[in-house]
Parts: sequence; C-alpha cells; structure tokens
Amino acid sequence: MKVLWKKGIAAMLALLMACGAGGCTDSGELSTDTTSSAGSSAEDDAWIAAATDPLTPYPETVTVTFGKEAGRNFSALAGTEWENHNDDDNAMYDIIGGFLNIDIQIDFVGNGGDDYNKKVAMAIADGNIPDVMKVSDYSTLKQLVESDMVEDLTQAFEDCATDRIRDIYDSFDGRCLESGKIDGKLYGIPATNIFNGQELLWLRKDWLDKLNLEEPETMEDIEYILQQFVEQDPGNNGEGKTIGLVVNTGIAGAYGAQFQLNNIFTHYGAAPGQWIEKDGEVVYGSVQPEMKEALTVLRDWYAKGLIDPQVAVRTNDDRIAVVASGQCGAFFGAWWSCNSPASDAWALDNSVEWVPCVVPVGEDGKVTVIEQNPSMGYLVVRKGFEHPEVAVKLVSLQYDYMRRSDYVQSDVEKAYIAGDVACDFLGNCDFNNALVLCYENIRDILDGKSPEDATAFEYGVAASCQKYVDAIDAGQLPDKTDWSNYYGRMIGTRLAAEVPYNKISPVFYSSTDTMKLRWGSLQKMESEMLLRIVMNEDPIDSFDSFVEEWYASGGDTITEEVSAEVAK
Amino acid sequence: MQIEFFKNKLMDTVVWLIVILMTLCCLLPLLNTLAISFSNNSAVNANQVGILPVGFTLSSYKKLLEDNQFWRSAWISVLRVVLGTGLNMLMMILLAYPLSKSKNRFASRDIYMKLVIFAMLFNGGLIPGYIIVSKLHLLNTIWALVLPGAVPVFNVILLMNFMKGLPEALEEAAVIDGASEWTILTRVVLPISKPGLATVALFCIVNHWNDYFQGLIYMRTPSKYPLQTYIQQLTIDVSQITDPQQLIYFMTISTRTLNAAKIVVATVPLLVIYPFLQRYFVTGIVIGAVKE
Repeated sequence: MKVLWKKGIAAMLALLMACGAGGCTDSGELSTDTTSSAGSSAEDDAWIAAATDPLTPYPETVTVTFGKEAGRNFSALAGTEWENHNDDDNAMYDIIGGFLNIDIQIDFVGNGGDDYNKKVAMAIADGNIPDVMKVSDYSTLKQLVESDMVEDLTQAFEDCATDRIRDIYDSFDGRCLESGKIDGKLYGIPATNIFNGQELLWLRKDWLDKLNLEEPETMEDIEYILQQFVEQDPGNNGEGKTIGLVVNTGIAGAYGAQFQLNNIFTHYGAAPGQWIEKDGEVVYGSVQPEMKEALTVLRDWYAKGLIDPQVAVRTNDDRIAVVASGQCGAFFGAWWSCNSPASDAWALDNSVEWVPCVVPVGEDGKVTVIEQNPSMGYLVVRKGFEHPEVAVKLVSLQYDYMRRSDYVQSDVEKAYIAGDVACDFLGNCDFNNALVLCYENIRDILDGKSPEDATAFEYGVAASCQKYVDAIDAGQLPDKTDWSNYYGRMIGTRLAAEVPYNKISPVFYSSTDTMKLRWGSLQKMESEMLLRIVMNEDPIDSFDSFVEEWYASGGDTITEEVSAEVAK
Repeated sequence: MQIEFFKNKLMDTVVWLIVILMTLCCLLPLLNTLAISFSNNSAVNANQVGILPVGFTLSSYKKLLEDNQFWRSAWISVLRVVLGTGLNMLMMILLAYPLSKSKNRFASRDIYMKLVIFAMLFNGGLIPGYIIVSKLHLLNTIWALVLPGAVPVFNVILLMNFMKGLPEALEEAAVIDGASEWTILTRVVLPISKPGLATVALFCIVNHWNDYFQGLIYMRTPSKYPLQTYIQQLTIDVSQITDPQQLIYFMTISTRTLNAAKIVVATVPLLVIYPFLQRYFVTGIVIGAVKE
C-alpha cells in the first residue's frame, strides 16, 4: 500500500475508499490533500493515467511475472526466422510489453489441464504466486480469495476495460463476468467460453442416398434411419456388422464432447449433468423424472440394436475408429467433428459424404441445446501487487485493440495468426456468438466481399474453403485440411448461424464444499445408472431408486448448497 | 525314462510358450507404435494399423525434424543423463564402498546403513520435496532433476552387496604392497567391480531417461521439460478433456502418427545403450547376490 501511495495513485485509492466507505467525505478530502501536498508532478499524473486508462503505457518499465497456460502451435513457425519462439520468450511478449511498457517475466507455464492445474496448486501451496496468473476453475479462485491471496479487480475493471471488452462480457448476459465475482467484488477476469453451436447428428449422406432416405427431423425419423443403416448395410460391412449410433460411455451430460446424446435428452425436457431452475427451485437435471422418458427410448433403441452394443467398453480412439473405418454412419458431435472422425472416413474412402443434421426437433421445429459454462478460468492478480490493473489492461490490449481492423500487424504477428500460434495469458475473450460471426465473415469472403472486422485467421480459413470449392469444381480431389475446413465452417457452423434453437440455461457450473467430497462418487453412480439402463442391464424403474440413493448419498445437501449459492 | 523324457519336453515347451508370450507382450506394442509412426493418419484413426504400416509415409518424421521443442527436450534429457548418472556413480561408489566393509573396520557402519535404508523407505512427500527444491532456487534448472535423486539407495545396496562379494585377499595383497585406501578403491576395487558398476549405471541411465514426473513438477515451463515429460504430455486422453476449445484443437491436429514417431525416436537411445551394457548385466546382478 505504501508504494501505491508513493507512486501517486492516491486519487484512485480515494475513489476506492469512497466506494467502500459509502461516500465518506472525510477520507475523500484527506486523500485529495495528500495528493496536492505530495505535489502532483507530471510523473505522478502519468502513473495515474496509466493506472486508470486501458491502453496508456506506464511511465517506467514495470516488471510483471506471469503464470500461464502453454500456448499452442509454435511449431507452425518452423522454417521462419521466429522458429525458436516458445512460451518463455516470444514476439507477442515484446509487442504487448512494448505497448504497455511492462517487462513480461514468465514464472511458470503448464500445458492446459492437469499439468497447469498442478503448477498452480504447487504455487499456492508454496505461498508464492506470480503477479498475474490464470486459474482454471471457480473453486481455485474462491480458495485464493478466501486465503486473501488475490487483489480485488473491481475498480481496475471499471477503469481499464474498453467498451468492446464490456460488450463481450455483456454478450453472455452477465453470466460470464458475474462468475468472477465473490461477494460482489470482481476477483478474477473470466476467460470466455464461446457457444459451440448445436450438437449435430452427423450422418453418412452417401448411405442415405443409397437407401433413398430423407434427412431426418424427428425422433422417429432418426430411429428409422438407424434401423435402415443397421439392416440394409449400405456400407457393405457384412451382415450384422454395421453399428447404428456410436455413443460415448458417459451417454450425456458434458458440454461440447463428441458421441453424446444430449439432444435426445433435451428433446424430452431433461438436462443431464446440469443444475437448472425448475418451478423456481434449483435442481440437478440428472435426477429429474424427464430423464426417464429419454432413457425409455434409448433402451428401446439399444434392444433393437440401433446403439453400439459395445458402448460400455470402447475407448475414444475406438469410437473414432468405427466411424473412420465406415463401420458406423451416425454419430453426434459439434461442428468440429468434421476433423475427426468425419474427415478420416472421407480420406480413407473418397466416396464418403457427410451431412450434419440439427435433430431431433420438437413440436416447435427446434432442438434444445444446453448452454455452456461461459467461463473457462480466470485471470487473477497477486495481493499486494502494485499494478493490479495490468491484468485488465492486457485483456483490453489483446482482445480489443490488437483485434481492431485498423490495427497494423507486424510481419511476425501475421505469421502468428496465420499459423494459429497462440500465447494468450487469459485463453480467450470473445463474443458468445463468435462462432457465428466467424462463419459470416468466412461466407462473405467467399462471396467476394471484404468484411470489415475479418481477421487474418478468417481469411486463411476462407482461402482453404475456396481451395475446396475450386477442387470440386475442377473435378479434383480436395486436400483433407480444405475438406475439413469447408465441412466445419461452411456446413457445420452455418447451422449454428441459420437454424434456430431453444436454450436451457444452467444456473450453476461450479463446486460446493460437499461436492468436493461427494461429487466424484455421485458422478460415478450417475454414469453407471445411465449406462446400465440404456444397456437394458437394469429395468427402467431402477432410475427411481437411483434418484433416492443419489439424494441420500449427499445429493440433498449439495442441492441445498447449490440453491444457497445461486440465491446469492 | 521315457516318461521322464516327455515330462521334460513338456515342461520345456510350456516354459518356451510362456517366454514367447511374454516377449510378444513386450514387443507387439513397440512394433505397433513403430508401424503407426510410418502410417497414414486416417488409417491410424480407423484402427487399421497392426504391426505393419498402412499407407507408408515418412511425413511424421519430417514433421518431427521441424519440432524444435522435441529436440530441445531431447537435449535436456541427454544432459540430465550425463550429469545425473555421473553424480549417481560418484555418490554410489563413495557410499557403497565403505558400507561394504565389515563392522570391525567401519565401526558406525550399521548406523549409516539404517539411515540409508530409512531414506529409501520413507520420504517427505511431494509438496515438502517441491518446497525444498523451490527454496534452494533449483526450480527450472537442470539441477532440480539431478540433485534430488543423487543417491539412488537401491542401487547403492546392490553395489554394496557386489563389493562385499569381492575376495578379501585382493585387498590384503594391496595393503601389503603399501596401497592407501584411495589406491585400493581406485586401482583394485573399481576395476574388478566393472560388472556391478555397469549394472547400476544402466539402472541410473534408464531411470534418468525415463523419468517424466520430476520434469513435470520441477520445471516451470514446457520448454524446459525433458523428453519423457514432453512425451507424457502428448499422450492425452481426449475423452478426459472438458475444455471445448482444447478439444477442438486436439481434434484438428489429431497427431497419433506424429506422437508415435516421437515415442520411437525417444526409445532409440536406450535401445542403443542396452546391448553395450547387457554383457555385464547378468553377471553383475548374480555376482552381487552370492556371498563367499
């Protein structure tokens, strides 16, 4: 605090105090006095300006240490003069550091997921966290706040977030930024998790054509098509060797994963794996009676042989393999499923065609999707760091200023964007509908327009899609990457842009105290129940005993805790 | 006689079958990885690759040549093996030799022995270990990989037993010739301990080369990961990933062939070292186990 004073950020401090003390005039006057008596030289003004404006650089170089998740794709720079760039040292640090006059020092880097989380946990246990770091979940953020290790960023966000950054968080209807707050104070700048589009049912178009089948819409259509696939064997796999629908061992409940049946559950009004509000109460979706309807249909499908009989034992590689090898012609997956396994099937047999369908539609002609957790981690600032606003400034710089259309990119930045090289501190900060915006830009570029806010990345994808179109027009075989890009962007994400859908908005994504102890076993119980009922191992009524057991084994306490959290 | 003969034959066949089966268990995954590294990525994703490549291509190895991080990590691993094994050997010899003496000649031997065994059975655990390394400012340096495991106790005991088995007469002869303890160690004991030394050296090399966990814990950035840590990070189970953006990324790169190539290249150094040390290997352990 002393140093803050010295640096002359007294004005900002006064503001903070004024807010905290409910506008106490005394402290306000006192601070103003201090400022004037300290002599508000030009240098002090410069420090204040830097601390309260998104893009104003610091008058002197400020050293900031970081904990960050590993970037990606540095190998795309191979063969250029920047091929030695990595997470410790790269051009982006120089550029960002140059803008804000900060010296970026890397304290630790970890590969996203387990590796990084371990490093964060170690740093916290060691009591020695870097000035700015990303934490990947809300419970870690909460832990840091409770042990008073991180700064309150409320004021910093007020001062240093640009309009576009605010717009971005607003596009999540407040759900995103709100998740970084504890007791009304913003402690973590959330990394956004953009909407991934509907879960699509990818079907083999060539099989549909061969059997004279239309693209499906309703549950009955899907069932009929799967039945035809299995019985008629359009892929010549041999009698009884065709798998109807390949399904994840988890059956449903995760967001954005492949081979899940979320669409079928939401079709019957269920929300597996999600905390939702129902009749004004917070409840866990997997223990609601709507699940039973969906499960009844699925176990019927399984009994008829329409669902992969080996659903319980396949690994993810196996699931990809049965689709890639042409043994299965139907699977659920988001738009990027065009990469794997769809493009693998095509690469091995060029007569393969795919069509992604938004099914099953309800009475209003729409599918229902479960909204994603809008936050994928938080940027936090160490308690006592003199320039907590630097985290917000970085976000404003990276996700607003450097993405503006009039921002002039240096050669190295162009190379980074073209190669999809990323070394962000936050991970991502983009509009909820970024996927749709991206599709629209790519579509416009292909139409010969030059959309204003199109990025180099979008131009790159558009060029790849154009190569696909040219190859098809010329009757040649397109490249696998171009094929994937076209199917993913022009066919897959087009559906997200053009096909309307209903939403279920879960109300809670985080973890509670009892969850830390019990959630693992409850989840296991749930996935075993799903699998056993679908596979006809247990009667459908065992769902009711599962619900009872779920509540008895801690589910009721957790539900109360979650309700209390949501009520806050 | 006849029955005895058949019995032996039968036993032999069974033994052979078991040995062949176990060899295959070890060999097939290696061959499969090798085949995958030379195959077309789509064929691999369709599980079509067994022990022979499908759609033979060298593209994985071409890509591997461009991967800076792989070679950086390989260099770190080499450095670690050289430094680590060197230090291990020094420590082991200096500890095993005195401990191989009887209580008459080294009065407090048992105390040291108990300390050593205690340290082998119990340790402080992960977090205290990390904090010590952190407080000594070793994090992110090669020394964090070398120093914490500088005294491999199990190998010390192995070497000690080997030295115990050496004929005492040799040493007595050296003493009569006027050799000092240092001379005895360096000129008499070490040269005839070669099989034992080679064995423990091999253990240390393999240990250092294959360890990924220390790299994961003590190195603060992936660019300083040793090779096995780097490889461990590649073999991610996609179904465990919950972050959609990461999932998209992994689905787009889908590099099972490239990963296989990396594993193959990372295995080569050990495959090369083994035959050179193997001739000492069997004798080394056997002699160490038998006392006069």
